[in-house]
Amino acid sequence: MGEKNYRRKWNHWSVKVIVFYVLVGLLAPVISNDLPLVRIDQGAWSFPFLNQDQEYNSPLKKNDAGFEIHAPFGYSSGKSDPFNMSFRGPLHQQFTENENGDLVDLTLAKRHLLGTNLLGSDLLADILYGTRISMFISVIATLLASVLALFLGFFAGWYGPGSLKLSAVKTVLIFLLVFYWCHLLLNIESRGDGWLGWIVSVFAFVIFMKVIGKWKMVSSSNFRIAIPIDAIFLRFSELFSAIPRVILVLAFIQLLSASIVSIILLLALSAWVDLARIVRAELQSIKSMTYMDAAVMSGIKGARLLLIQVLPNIWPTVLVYMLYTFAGNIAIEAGLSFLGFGLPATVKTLGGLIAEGKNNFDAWWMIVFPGLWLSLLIYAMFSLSDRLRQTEN
Amino acid sequence: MKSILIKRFLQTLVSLLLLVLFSFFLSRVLPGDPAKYILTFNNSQVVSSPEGRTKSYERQYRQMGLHLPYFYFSMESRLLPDSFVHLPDNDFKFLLCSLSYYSGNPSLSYSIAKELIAKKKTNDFFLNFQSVGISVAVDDMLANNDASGITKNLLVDLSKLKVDHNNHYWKRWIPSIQWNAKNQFHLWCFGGKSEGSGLVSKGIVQGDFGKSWTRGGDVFEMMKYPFLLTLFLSVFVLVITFPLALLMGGWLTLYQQKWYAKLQKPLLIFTYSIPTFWMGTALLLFFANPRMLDWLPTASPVLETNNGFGSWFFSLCSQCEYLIIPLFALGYSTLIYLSQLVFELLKDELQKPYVMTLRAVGSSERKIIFYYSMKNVLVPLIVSGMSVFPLLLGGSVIIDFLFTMPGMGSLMLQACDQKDFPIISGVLFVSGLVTMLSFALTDLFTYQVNPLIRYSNLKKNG
Repeated sequence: MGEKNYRRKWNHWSVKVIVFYVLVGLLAPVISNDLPLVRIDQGAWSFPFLNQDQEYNSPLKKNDAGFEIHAPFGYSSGKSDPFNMSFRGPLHQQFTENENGDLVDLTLAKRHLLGTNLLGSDLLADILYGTRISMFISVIATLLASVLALFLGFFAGWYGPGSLKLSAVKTVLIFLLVFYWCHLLLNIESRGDGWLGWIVSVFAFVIFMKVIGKWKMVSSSNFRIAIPIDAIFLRFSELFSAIPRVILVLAFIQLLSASIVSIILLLALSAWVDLARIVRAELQSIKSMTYMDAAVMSGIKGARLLLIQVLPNIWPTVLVYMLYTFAGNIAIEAGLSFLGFGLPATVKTLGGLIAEGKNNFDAWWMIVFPGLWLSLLIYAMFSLSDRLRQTEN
Repeated sequence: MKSILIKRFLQTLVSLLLLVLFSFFLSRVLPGDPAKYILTFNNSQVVSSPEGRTKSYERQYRQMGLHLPYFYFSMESRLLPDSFVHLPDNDFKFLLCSLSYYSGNPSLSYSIAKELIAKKKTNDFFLNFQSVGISVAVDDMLANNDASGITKNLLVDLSKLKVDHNNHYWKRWIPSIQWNAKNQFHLWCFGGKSEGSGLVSKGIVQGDFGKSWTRGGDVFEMMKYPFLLTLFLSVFVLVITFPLALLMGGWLTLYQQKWYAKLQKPLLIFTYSIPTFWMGTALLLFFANPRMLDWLPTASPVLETNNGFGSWFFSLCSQCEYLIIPLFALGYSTLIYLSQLVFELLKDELQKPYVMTLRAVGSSERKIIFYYSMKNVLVPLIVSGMSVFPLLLGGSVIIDFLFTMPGMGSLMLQACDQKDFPIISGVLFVSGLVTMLSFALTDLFTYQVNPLIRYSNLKKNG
């Protein structure tokens, strides 16, 4: 039953669509490129598409023995086509130059299928390359956010309100260590050689804790302090869910300059809230189950317990929320580029393409195609999460 | 009940404190110099000579309280006096901190730094120090005696510093904690006077977010009407979508057995998955485009902001045709989300035993859904429905950009363009504040509605 159900769960059109998008993202330079993929010239193999920057203007002679393999779509992203500049639509006449220098119509195989933008770069190629960037950013950001959310959710859910009790001496020690690390962190600018302080403090901390743990007065002390991990988690999650994500990311992208790394970090750091809350809630309901008692009694502890006993049980829910997070990340990344605060304009992104189209409503293809392409991906995500939720029940 | 209310109030207070700290952090880590920006707008203090300019700049710096430590307590290295960290002159500050940190001798470092900075353009040490770091620079300087811009006395002092460094360098890892009664956070939060006579700020407690760096105006004044517009749009969307969502969710549940019900769900999910900015652009493309359907205006409403709230609101209402597309683009996803939520909740509700009783009694399905079950759905709907409020505020950024509405989003985007950080942190704070208050109000509402909580006190006593 379980195996069959599992197979049925993933047998859905949205899975195929998502796999298709991933493949397109991975293979974008192979699918759409103006340079030949493989070139065999007199027995010598070369792969010209690997170095895009290189000028490539030595076409094979007609009678030559060598041959070339071309990409299915013959345009690269961001390279302008001088004969089809200033918004040439998919239904418009598209030109090229023949050997005599006259303007002639493009053949069907070489047409810009989805049109061109102001500088004459091919929209189809731009969309494919944009998918690559968007998928990369969102996948990494979602994975980071999920790891963070699982960690925080486990921490908050496992200890709950006030069940993390430490002996007073240890609490004070931990407080001092954190305090000292803050001190090191605050002075990081004026101190060039401070790594010694970190290492020494960690070693001193570990050794001190071990020594103190041996001392019976401390380890069996009745005076214990309950640390409200749960309350701290809830307050922070309220803070992060209260500030709109777009505004949060916009504000912090002014501090770090906009690059792939900074966008990934900001998306990940602002996306953990929902997932972490769900993990916490699930863990709280699981904690009272009998199999958890059995696991605890059989001596499984700590991270092992959470990863082996808890995670498989909450995994379906986590997966659903990861899909939501992914869809949200893609939308926010595209929105950032649309507002002009995402990646620099030289990098083609889906949001940036729509923003280009917004400035010229005659070029409807600049708005319709990237938007539909983006919406289809998000639609597949939502459909898959819906499917997973239903088969779960 | 009372204890729960007090608990919720305290929780909100803690969250607000976190929000205040967060926006303060954002307003201080910013790159740029507030005093310089403000000076450019103070026409009375325009001084032509460079010395006078430096002087007025330093006066302004102190007047704004920027020389104060950031927080109530500060933690610096033992070798670094707190007064060194927030000096106005950046080069001098960096040199002084490095020297003091290197040697652990603040007074000697101060005199050396003063001497070095006076001729920073001509001495090798300063340039060398900026590129290779302080300890190498000192060693280099002591190794060759005939460097330009260095006197004999200075060399003696530097060798003293080197001796101090060898004796005291380990002290840099020892923290020293100081209590600061007067600090930037206090001024920013509660207001007060810095050095001199002028009031720094009234504090954000009284709604003073400081002055804009690029436009010179009061941030609160600049934010007032844009914020009202955004709040108005968001609340309007919520008010309209709640009843509509109840209606739609009811219909979806009522007709879920019909053949066309299978189409509804994919269609709704697809509409929901369209990003706001594309929906807005597509609406503009189709309905406000002279080449397609020229039904609605593309321009933004021009709002009256000079004659108080009444005339502002009147000017908004009289130009309501400008709000149709923005409201739709802002609200469609909320509507679909809420109607799906109602649908799910109603579906669960219909499994309950009381519905079977009602059916046995002979109530019509329509009445069961729209009258009996709907009442039970309301509370969880409002609780989860309020979670869309931050989404609406965030969506209004995109809506403002797309339709050039004079809302908070436009203000935010302009501020981001010009790196105007007081406005950015102000917008962040206000949007967080409004959402937190709405969360708290929603909780109060559920406590009031839920009899289990409302009578929890009675239960405990009886």
